[in-house]
Amino acid sequence: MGNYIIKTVAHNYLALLVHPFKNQLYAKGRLKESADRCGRALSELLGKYSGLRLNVVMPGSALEALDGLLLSELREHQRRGALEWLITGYTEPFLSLSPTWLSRANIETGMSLVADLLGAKPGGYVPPFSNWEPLSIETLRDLGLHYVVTSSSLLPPAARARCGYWATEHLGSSVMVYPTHVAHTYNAPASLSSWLQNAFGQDPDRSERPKLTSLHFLLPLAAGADDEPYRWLRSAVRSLARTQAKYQSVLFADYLGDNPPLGLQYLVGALDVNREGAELHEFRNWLFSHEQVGLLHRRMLEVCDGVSAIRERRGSEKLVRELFTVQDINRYLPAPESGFTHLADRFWSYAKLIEVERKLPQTDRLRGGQIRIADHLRNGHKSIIMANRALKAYINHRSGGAVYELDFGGRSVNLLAAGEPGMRNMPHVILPGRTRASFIDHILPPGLLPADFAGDYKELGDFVDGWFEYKISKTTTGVRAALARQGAILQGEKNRPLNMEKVFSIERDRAELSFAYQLANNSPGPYSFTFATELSLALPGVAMGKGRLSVGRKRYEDFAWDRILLENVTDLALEDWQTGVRIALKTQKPVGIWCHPIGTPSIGYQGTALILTLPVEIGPSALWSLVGKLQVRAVRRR
Amino acid sequence: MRSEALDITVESSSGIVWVYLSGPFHREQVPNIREKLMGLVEDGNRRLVIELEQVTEMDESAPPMFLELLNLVRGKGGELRLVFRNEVVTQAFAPYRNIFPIFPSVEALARRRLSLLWERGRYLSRRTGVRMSVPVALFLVFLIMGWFFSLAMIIYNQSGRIQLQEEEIRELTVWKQQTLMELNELRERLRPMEQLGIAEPPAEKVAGK
Repeated sequence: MGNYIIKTVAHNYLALLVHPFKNQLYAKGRLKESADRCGRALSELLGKYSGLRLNVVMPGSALEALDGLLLSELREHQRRGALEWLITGYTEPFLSLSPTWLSRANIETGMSLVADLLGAKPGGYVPPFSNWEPLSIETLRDLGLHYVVTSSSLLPPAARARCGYWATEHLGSSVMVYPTHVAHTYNAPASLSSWLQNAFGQDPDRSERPKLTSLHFLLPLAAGADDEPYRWLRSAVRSLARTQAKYQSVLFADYLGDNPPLGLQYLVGALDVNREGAELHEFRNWLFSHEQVGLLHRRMLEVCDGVSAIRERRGSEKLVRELFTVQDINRYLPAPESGFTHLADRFWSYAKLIEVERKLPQTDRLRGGQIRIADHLRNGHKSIIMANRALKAYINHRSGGAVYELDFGGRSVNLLAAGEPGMRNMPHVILPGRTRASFIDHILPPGLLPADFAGDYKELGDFVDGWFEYKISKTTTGVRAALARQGAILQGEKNRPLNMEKVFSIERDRAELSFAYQLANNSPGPYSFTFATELSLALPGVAMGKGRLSVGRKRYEDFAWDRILLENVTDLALEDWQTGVRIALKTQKPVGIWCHPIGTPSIGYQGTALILTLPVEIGPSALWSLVGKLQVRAVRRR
Repeated sequence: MRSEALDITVESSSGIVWVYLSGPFHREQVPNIREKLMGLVEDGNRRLVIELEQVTEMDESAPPMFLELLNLVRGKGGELRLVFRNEVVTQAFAPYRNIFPIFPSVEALARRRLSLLWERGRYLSRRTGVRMSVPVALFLVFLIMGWFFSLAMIIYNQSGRIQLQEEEIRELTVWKQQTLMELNELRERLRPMEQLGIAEPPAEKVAGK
């Protein structure tokens, strides 16, 4: 009798995670069409290749757009063990920037949706863009999620080549982690089998245990009419079918049940946007070095606090669901076609937040005016928030007394959502002199030209980023904030005292922000300078040619990229027909106005800046003043 | 920063200014809050309600500041009420509980306003010597309401009648004008016949009779 040598064939496994995603905002109809196309492609593949095992992750909002018949087909595939569904949430919550309760509600809603539509609760969670937060482990465990799938770039370099999964823990709670190689349609491996051979070959572990490598394939839901994203998937699945003897596809849950983890890895808070050279653990520094994202984030937190206070009440679930869309990570990441760097995207986020805020019961208390002193910017300093039922203004008295947000309730818009493109050296929510806000006050040399102001110029005053003291008033007719600063003006080589007081007021329930400036010269000599104040307005319709600037009988249409110089103006109006807003600026004295675009054609239109200028001559111990108002009203949208 | 740790919200309704404070109330904030609250009184507001339920810490120098505010408000003929029931603030105000009107909640304050009306009535009754039982008072109220209602009905009916009459006058005026036009037209038609002697003018007809 011969000796039989029993050779065990150790399979190598591939967990293929298909992730249809949408970053951009688009209409439900288009989402449904794209989701159905994706569902059909997946169902077709699973039906054709009986040995195929696919892991799929999709936000709940896209899943619920799927056709009922397709859902039942996918349910069938799941029932026979060929498909595993993972979850990002109802949308794709940005864990690092969202309140814990909102992220939990988002994920829980997504899980319930998957259970309702597909018959089984998902066991795995995929943090969007591998935005990992160690503190989320407890939430995930509470919700019954057993594992997460993240990019392998979250692991230390020495561990990235290992084939399998790990355990991660934080403060006593642990969860399993599948590190994956992330691939897009444009950089997916041309030959899957070669890629797999390479991946398993790089594993330093030469034991005979079954090994697993994971590929996270991102395919855009908003693809064009062609078949491009599904082409790679089809060829990969064909390749897998041909090499079934060597590589088998597997579901994450199945591998988890049959194989132990490789060990323990501590994962720090991270975000993986495939940004070259980025250090993952410093992603917040990088992100907040962009303009506007911090303001949008603080605004989201403010509204979340308002909703959180009424969570016990009936009807609050609807508001929470609306917040899921604003919490979506795609609103807070800069990207070519989506994110806060695009005015339209930013505008949409603010609109959603304002709509939710107006539905809160606290809004009833705005009748007649409300003034709040709160740490809105979450930097330890207070902002002044003045509101009535029509308008809401946020004032930063610590940096120039500037108004950095102005909501018009009639159209649910933030009129001051203009942003300075580009990145700063350091992360800031507001950076005086760089952040696009309004009522930023300059003391400039007399006779300064607009062209000089756009380039290098000498700032004679210290009001741009100066700290203003403030007093608040509440009368029967409205609310008022009076800001005062004892500043200085450079005259010759010396600094001389110059006091500025500016008062903002909102009366009754009118959509009107009144402002009044008073400059006081307490020195024995006269002053001569140009006073300028900046207004930065966000008007998305202007960029689309749906806007107009009117000064007296003069009309300027399609002026998004024009530089316009106006003189002796007391009445100016800006209309945005896309948003449906008309902003009228009225001043008591004739002013010069320099109008120029914010942004560049390559980066995109970010808003329109109006610089109000006046020559000022103040004698010794004399005063100078300027009074005006911004009136906002809704107009017909076109 | 400790001097700015407290959040303040100021709003008004029905002539009352509501001030909501939340956060820790440190010693360093007393001057700042004093200035803001005194400023509200100087703006002409006489009825203040300050809600302290969300205050998480209170320094011992805070209640005397509120006492100062109470004296100022009362000196100007106004009133100040405090709303809180949390332990921290209750303990801080314990020595002053008989000085400040303190309510556990906004709802309790609203109920109190109704009972204040009742008390006002009793006070006036004592001052003027006028006594009235409840049934008599109710009867008088109904009587007065009935007078007003009757007056309103009379005015309403009269106004309806006047409108009808005006409408009638308008119609008659229009009819008169139309009739005059027709008459003139007929006269015009008859004139040639009068000139031919076929028809007599109206005055001659009467003379002929």
